[in-house]
Amino acid sequence: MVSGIKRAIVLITVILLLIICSGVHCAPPPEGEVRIGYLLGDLHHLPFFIALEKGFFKDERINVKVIGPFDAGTVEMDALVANQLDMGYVGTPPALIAAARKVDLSIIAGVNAEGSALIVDETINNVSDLRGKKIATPLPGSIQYVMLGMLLAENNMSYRDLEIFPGTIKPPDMPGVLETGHINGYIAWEPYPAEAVVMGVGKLLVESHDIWPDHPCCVLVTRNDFAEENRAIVQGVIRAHKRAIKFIGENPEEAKSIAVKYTKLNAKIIEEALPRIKFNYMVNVDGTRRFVKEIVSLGETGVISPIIRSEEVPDIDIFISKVIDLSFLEG
Amino acid sequence: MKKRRLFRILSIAIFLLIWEIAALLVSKPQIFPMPIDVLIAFKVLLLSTGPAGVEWAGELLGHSLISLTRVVAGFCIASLSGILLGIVMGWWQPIRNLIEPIIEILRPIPPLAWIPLAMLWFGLGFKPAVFLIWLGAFSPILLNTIFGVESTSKNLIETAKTLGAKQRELLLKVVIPSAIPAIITGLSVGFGVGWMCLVAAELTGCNSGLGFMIMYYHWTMEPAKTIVGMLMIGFIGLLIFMILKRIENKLLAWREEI
Repeated sequence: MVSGIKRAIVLITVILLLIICSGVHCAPPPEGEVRIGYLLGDLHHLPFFIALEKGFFKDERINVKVIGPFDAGTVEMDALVANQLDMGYVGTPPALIAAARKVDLSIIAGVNAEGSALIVDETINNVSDLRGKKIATPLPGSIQYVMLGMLLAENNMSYRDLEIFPGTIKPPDMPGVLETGHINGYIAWEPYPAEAVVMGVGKLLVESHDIWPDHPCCVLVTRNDFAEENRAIVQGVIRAHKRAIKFIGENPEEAKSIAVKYTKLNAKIIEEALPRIKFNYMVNVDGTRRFVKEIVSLGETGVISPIIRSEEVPDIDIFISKVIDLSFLEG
Repeated sequence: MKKRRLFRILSIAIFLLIWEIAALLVSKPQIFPMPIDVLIAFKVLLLSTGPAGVEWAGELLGHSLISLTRVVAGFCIASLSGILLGIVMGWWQPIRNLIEPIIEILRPIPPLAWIPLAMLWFGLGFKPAVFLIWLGAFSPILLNTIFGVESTSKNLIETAKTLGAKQRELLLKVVIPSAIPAIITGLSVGFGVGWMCLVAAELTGCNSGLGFMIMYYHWTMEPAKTIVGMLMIGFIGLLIFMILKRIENKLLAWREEI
């Protein structure tokens, strides 16, 4: 009888211990919904497409509501401010501009580094040939615009030595306008440089890697109020995002076909573009700091109308430490 | 009159008050600035350096001047082409039968839809913008001219013919003068539509003009400056409308006298 009671106590204890253990160590992943935005036709956002296609978000028991595609980073940031989005794949500059305008967001992971290029027509064979030529760039505050300035400075030139069209032509239109001969070249993010190369309307003059190795590019951002209330979901998204980046490295062929499916671009263009994009979930903190300094100084020296003003970011180090939150990546 | 003015001021004051309260309630200056922010932005834009070529005018007036030049150019081309084609189509039925189907198909296409082609055909800057403004202004001018020519009194034409007027004289001395009121209405509507096409036109390969300015400050997340640009488009549009109305009334004063 006594041994029966003892046996029952041992059994109950074991069961209780098992329940406690499972509660501590094998907690079920978070369950919830998150609205994530992305940009139209941007090949840099491939990790998002992969995570969706391969069910990596579902594996984290997260229901992702895809919002977009947005045709510009600022429009995506507007949606974030208007509480139509919780997280977003977006370029570093729109995220920084929004943060400088006191939008309560954080950059919580990297998406890619590099992945832009300068494409030119047959009249240009080296950087010094750019003098006096018509070159289109994305907006004055973009990484590509800043990098063109760096390239020109390295070659003892400045924006004033060229006829620059900043923000005048949207990147998807650039290959077509180059073909018509109205411009002599453009700097843009992938897949638009690759498109011109594959279409045979332009040639690659300089890769962004050669101007600024490992330069920051697209990032994953979140609204801070959302992240505070849904920390587990944000961490789940980051785990899926990391898995997707690993997947691209391990399964390049399948990644290519997913890229074709989501961007609706020709496979040849994707093949041409992908090797120039470095997918990386780490945030390039030093690169981001350098970028902010460049943008502030371009505005102060009167090269462009000020986009991020020094009074908005009196201390760039403090600004960067506030806007970049690495705790989700580490956690 | 005094009472009317008082109501106008009251209406604007109430509008500003509602705006202020709404902005305070939303409390997100990044997407919904307060009237005072717009006033500050107005001052900044008035004093900052203007776009290339009109640096002296300041940003706001410089962009406005550039936009006005484009609209006037587009409008002049639309007037010339619209009136000429309108007279030809209104007077010679076979030509009208030949051209009308094409115009009927193209007319409902909004100028915005032409943006990608405008850039590919005309490149960057002035030309594609003028093309898009022309697209907007052309139809009202053309249709009103056709209507004016068509509705010339048959009695008047017959009388002139009896008096020995030849085709050329008939057109120059009877039909066109009689079509002038309709043509002027067409011009007035055409200018209005052309001005409204401005934002769409300046989205195409332009790096100046009010349309560009509005988009630029949207990209840099400064909605107060975007609103200043929008208000400027509204204000200039209203001014042009008032001037055209006055010209129209003066030119057509004889109509009432008849």
